[in-house]
Amino acid sequence: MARFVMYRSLQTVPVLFFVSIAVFASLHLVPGDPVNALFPPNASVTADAKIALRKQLGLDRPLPAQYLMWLERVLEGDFGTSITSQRPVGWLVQAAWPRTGELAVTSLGVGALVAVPVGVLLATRQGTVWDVLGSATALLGISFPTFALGILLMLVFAIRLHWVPSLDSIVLPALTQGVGIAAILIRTLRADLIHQLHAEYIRTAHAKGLAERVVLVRHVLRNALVGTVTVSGWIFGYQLGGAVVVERVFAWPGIGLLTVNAIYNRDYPVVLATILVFAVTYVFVNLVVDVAYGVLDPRVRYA
Amino acid sequence: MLTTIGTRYRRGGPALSVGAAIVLIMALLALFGPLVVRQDPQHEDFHYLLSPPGGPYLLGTDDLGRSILARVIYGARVSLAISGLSTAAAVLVGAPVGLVAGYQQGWIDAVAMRLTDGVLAFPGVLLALLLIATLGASSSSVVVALGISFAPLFARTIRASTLVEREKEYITAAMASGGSVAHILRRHIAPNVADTLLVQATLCLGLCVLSEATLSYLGLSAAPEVPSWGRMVFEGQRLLELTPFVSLMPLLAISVTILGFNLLGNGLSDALNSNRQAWRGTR
Repeated sequence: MARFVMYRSLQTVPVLFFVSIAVFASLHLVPGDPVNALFPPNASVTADAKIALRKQLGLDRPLPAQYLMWLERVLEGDFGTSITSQRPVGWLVQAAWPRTGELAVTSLGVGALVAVPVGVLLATRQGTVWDVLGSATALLGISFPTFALGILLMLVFAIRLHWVPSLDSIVLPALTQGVGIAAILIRTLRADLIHQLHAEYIRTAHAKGLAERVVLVRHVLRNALVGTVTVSGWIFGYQLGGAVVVERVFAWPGIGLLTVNAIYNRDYPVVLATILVFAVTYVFVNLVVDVAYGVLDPRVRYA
Repeated sequence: MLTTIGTRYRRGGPALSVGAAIVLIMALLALFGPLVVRQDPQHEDFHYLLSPPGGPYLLGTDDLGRSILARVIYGARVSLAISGLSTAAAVLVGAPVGLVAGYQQGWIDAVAMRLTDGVLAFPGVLLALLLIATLGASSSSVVVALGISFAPLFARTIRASTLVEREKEYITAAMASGGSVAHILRRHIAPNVADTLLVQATLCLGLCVLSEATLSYLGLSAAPEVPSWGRMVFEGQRLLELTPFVSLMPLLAISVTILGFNLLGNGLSDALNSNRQAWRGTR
């Protein structure tokens, strides 16, 4: 087990290296002098100030040396200063992160609450009208863009039905992401459940006279959920990518909104920091998911 | 020949027919729509501000009096052109990498796969956002950004199919008769992984329509004056209370198009019955 964790952890090293290079390189791909990107577009900056900043940031040194300096600062949590707000970028990220986390946890809860009963319903009624309708709805769900779903929910529940008191509440953004997550979960859960339902041990369980409900909950669902763990890393990525959109639709002040606003304002230090944080989080969550899968299903460790 | 086409068509099921019909209609709309609906998508008719669907303007007008029908049709051009070019870019980068990595294996394979891991470490549209932040928001940046983001999809699936194919006996025979690597890849492997490529490219088109719509909703795709579906949804969002059709019409166009490509991709996959590796559905 320790070897498996070690091996899987080591695999993230080249990926993290690539991610850091991609983010570092993108600052240097900005047309013109990267120093210009660190000032507001119309600021009057003297040539001396630029030279001083270039020296301070080490931009007069060779690229590999610059990369190591940048990496050292980033590992210390120093992402520089935001151009638009003049606040430390680390501070902005820290302030926005809990809001994104709050939204992620709530929508994951919504998704699971919808997906588990629906998945069981579809799998146990395989081939019936329910199954066809449900599976088609799930396909529609993943074909539907996140922002489109958000706007529809806003129109129906906030504007027409007045069920949601204020647009600041977490209800609609969580529902938007939750429905998207449920659509993914239902599809994988249905397939896993059907696979389990045809397994030999289920016949044994029936043969020894267990009630249908007991077989479903204690045997089928429990084993099918192990498979669902594998897609949870992917779902987390869906949430991170979706956070940018959902937070923009509902003006939710999380890290996604911070990213989009920073792109508009050409606030490069903030863009680089938020995207780096997103990518590193995603890599680590996938590591944790893979390790968890190894714990739940020992066969994976020797694959 | 005809019978095989017939059998394959039936194997595709309703998904294949419905998906193909939707995609065909959207493509015809993009190509010939402006010839039929002779309204300028930019013309501002101040006598008909926010006129509801059904009047002189079939799908109504927006708050500047511009024809929503003409804008949705023009938006189909923008969406399909960007998605087509992005998918082509992703295929051109990803497919050769997948072929060579799968056939040669060894260090080339290891490097290529770690690179795809790196690209896939950016979930959803985040890599595209990073590239667009660097290159500046424009339709060509979107093509580059989506092309790079989706290239790993092709590298991965083509590699997987190549791995299966290279173990077959006819490849051993081709090697024994002294065919060069380039020759074997071009004449033997490529035609046999083409089915996988076709299915994957169709699904990728749907993903690109989705991503382009998302990016233009965020205001990061084509220039503001170009009518793109995502931007139309965004501009209509503040009018949602009284005139929801301004947002809903382009929103419907986006959803139907993505659904069309997803159905067509899944239908093709069943019809060709060749690849279970192809990634189904969108994120």
